Amino acid sequence: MPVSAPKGLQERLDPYLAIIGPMVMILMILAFMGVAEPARYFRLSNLNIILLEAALYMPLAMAMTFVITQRGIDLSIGSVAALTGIIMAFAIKEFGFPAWIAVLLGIAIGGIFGLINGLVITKFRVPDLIGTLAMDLVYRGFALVLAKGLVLARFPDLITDIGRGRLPGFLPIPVIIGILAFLIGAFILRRSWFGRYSIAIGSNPEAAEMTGIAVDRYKVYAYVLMGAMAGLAGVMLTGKLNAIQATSAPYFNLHVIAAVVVGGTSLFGGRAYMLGSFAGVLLLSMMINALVTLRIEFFWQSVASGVVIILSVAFYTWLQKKDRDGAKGLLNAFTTPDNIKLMKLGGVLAAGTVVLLVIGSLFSTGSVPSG
Amino acid sequence: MPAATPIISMRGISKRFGGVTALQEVDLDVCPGEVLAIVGDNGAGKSTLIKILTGVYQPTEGAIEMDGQALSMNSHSEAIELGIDAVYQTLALADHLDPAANMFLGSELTKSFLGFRYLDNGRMRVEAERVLLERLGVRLRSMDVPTESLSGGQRQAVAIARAVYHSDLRVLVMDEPTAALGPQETARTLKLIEVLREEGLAIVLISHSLDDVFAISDRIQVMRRGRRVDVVHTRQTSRQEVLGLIVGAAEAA
Amino acid sequence: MKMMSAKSLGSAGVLLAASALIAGSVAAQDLPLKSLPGDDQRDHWLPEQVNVSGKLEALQAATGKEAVKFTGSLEKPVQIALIYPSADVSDFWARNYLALTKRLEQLGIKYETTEFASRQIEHELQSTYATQVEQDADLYDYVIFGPSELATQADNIEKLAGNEDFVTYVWAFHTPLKHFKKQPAAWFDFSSAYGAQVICSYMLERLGKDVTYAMNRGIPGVTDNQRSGDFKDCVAEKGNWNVVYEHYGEYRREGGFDGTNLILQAYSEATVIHNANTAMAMGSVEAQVAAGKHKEVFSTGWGGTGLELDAIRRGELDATPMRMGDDVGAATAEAIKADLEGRSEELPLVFLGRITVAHDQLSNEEIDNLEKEAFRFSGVGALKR
Repeated sequence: MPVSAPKGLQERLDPYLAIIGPMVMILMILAFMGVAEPARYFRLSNLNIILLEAALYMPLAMAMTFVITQRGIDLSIGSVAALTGIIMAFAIKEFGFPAWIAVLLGIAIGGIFGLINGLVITKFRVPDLIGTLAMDLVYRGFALVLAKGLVLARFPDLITDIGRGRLPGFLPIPVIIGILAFLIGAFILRRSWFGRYSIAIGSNPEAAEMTGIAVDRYKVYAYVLMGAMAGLAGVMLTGKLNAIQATSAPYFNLHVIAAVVVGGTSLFGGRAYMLGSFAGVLLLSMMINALVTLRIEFFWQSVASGVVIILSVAFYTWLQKKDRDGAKGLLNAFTTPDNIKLMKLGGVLAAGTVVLLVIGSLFSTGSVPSG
Repeated sequence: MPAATPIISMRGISKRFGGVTALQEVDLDVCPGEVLAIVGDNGAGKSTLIKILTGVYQPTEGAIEMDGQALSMNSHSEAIELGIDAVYQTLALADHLDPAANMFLGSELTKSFLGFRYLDNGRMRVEAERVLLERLGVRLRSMDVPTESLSGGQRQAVAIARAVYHSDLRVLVMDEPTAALGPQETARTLKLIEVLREEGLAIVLISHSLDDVFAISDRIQVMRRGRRVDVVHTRQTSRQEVLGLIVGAAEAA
Repeated sequence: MKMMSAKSLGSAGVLLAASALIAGSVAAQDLPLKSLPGDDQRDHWLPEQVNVSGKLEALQAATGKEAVKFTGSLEKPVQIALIYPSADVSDFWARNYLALTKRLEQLGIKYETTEFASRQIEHELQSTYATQVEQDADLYDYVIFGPSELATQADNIEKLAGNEDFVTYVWAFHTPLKHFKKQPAAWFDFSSAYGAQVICSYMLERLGKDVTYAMNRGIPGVTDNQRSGDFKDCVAEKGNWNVVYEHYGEYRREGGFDGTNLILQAYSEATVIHNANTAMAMGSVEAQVAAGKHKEVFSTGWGGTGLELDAIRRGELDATPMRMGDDVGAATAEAIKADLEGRSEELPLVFLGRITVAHDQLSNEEIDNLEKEAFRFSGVGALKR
């Protein structure tokens, strides 16, 4: 049955889907900053800051792309990074290990923590969300047990080089590490059994099982990779600040997951975009940098991150919809019975709120200082 | 008519799950170059029977012979090694992978560089295209899109191609291959089955659609309540008769 | 303060101490001005060994007195960048800001500020801010940096201090690190260690020896080690007090609430609850009131903020080491004035604000007066910005 239909929108977009979303938003930021604050935003030193900020998340986002592609999630990476950083720091400071051994040790121990996560999920059958959330508490707890309130600071040059060094006339070392991680990740995704099976497992777990793929084993591999990269991030973080403590890296999980999802990798599995994750990491970093450059109040960073995540996920969902509605469809959508009911609910809530506001202001006794 | 010697003979197969008897002393014969249809109501034991044939289940009692040799299979992969494979109703495809990746899923082609082995996507693509065209006469809309964007019939072709790629495939079990397809796609899939029959494969087809069964099969095995009710030659019977056998209105002649 | 680096720095410390005898003006390489016992145990200098005598007292005096107008003239407003973890519950940073700006106004210095806020726990973000501000050195005349944690931001402080385009002041720490090649122009802080001694002495005098107590500590770190750890050591050593439980409430109101509930429920023998900051003290008081135990339990806060003093007036909180809160911000304004007038040599390297204990046995009027003094710029009562 030789059929050669003209290429559809989906097919033409698909290879580029990954970067369309973040690219559009990156372009929007660039355009806006080009008008608002070009001199300060577009200079080499600021590009350096953006890349340095993003670099820390690159290895993490690479590994998280595999985890999420398999329909998994890992909520323990911040704690793993803090704990491995602390272990590495102790190895250097307390036990006098050579720095390069301590670095490799950090990555290896991160891998072991990932292995534990993977076993908890595949052997004990604890759902990944709960399993890694619980392990997050465990790792964070151990970090606190080990380091208490200690700040471990001032490390050999190798560590600070990894965290913030720079090849003369070229990119910062952490950025090179990050980009290298993505290149390797892209190769693994496309050219290794692990990459292939990660997509298959996320796409159709039963089919993968039926085809004879050792689903659980490849899931464990993904968590081991994730853990090792979290270990690497711990090393990079320690080097970046030249200090590590138990409470470090508090918001790693959500930041990395957001970057991966913004990059087009689907939380429902099977859809992996390494390039998209890279763009996602850059986007978040550029956005926060732009907000700071514009001197916008801190709390807006949180608002902006949330909006960006929602927009991009909604955008991908729209792109992947098989039959897209036109403008007429949009109008029609407002008139389906379900949506009318939802609009009524919204109306009732809004009206109720307004009533409460009115009553509140009628009975108002003026402002009362809190406390 | 196909060669008279069956490639597979199942004799006196029974299967009990706890206290429930799913199959009771069922026989099955299928010859090379033949399409054997298995029909019956839900719960008649069709699925259990083919799962035993493909090594997924092991029979409680009974024997399976292949070319006159006794077989014992402990897993589906052993069945595949012996040349028995299946294409399931719920296609075992990873929808986000491209057709070639799906076709080679679990048995990827590789190349190596400095002793480091990695997937040879180019060769898999070429091979997949070749198998689809040469064995099934199918040219996909595109080899580079995720499988999910293909039509139902083309997806079916990918699933079948995966089974027939093993050059030693001799018995192919197809579980409701047309259930989710439109009329055109159904016709194309039946054509695929014909192609495979011409190549000398023994095909066991499970279907609810008597249209398909009468269009393609050589013999029809009717199951009811875990028993084989009868086997009839498709050309020598009628829908009426087969329907009667399925619901139990008519007993074997 | 405990830091792993202390060990490795010991020998360097001794060398520096030897060279200090010929010290003239306060440059980093000349520190300390005098060596003290235990120097090799510390990675930082104590205030008394880096301040030329008289300078701290002079700045404290200037800060406490009526403003003397700035004598020079400015072409354009002074540009001040503030990098501090002000996104947490405490009003500490906001009050410093108000004291700074109001004192600048009193002094007749025109200014513009840019704030870079973060949460206390977001070391990374603050590091990014520091880098960005340093990149924008041309924009700022003064950079005020309130580090999320001293050792974590040490490299950033040194980087900012090393920039000649602006003057760097550090807020909320008073421990110049020994290893700095270049110290920031000045450190402005209340000494939590001093506060711990003050509240410890008061508690021993008020409650005597052998008291069983519990603590709501903050986030493990230097600050908590001083506020809670030093207090714990002090009451154990001088009064044989026994701590039965240490809850880490992360400086959050809910943390203090939860910790206190646990203490009331499981350690009813504890008659005193020590809280390491205002937010936890408020949470603690709320839990005590909810359980009807606020009369039985003697609870302390930290800092003597408006919220704490209100709680003392209500009879819910019992005592708190009270900072003359506006000293830090006002002293910074005085320092800026001195710097603009070319008198930066007159400034101490470390400025410490005054601390006294506010407690439930003071009359309302006495508390009011303390409060007026403490919050003479940022205003008595809950903060309004």
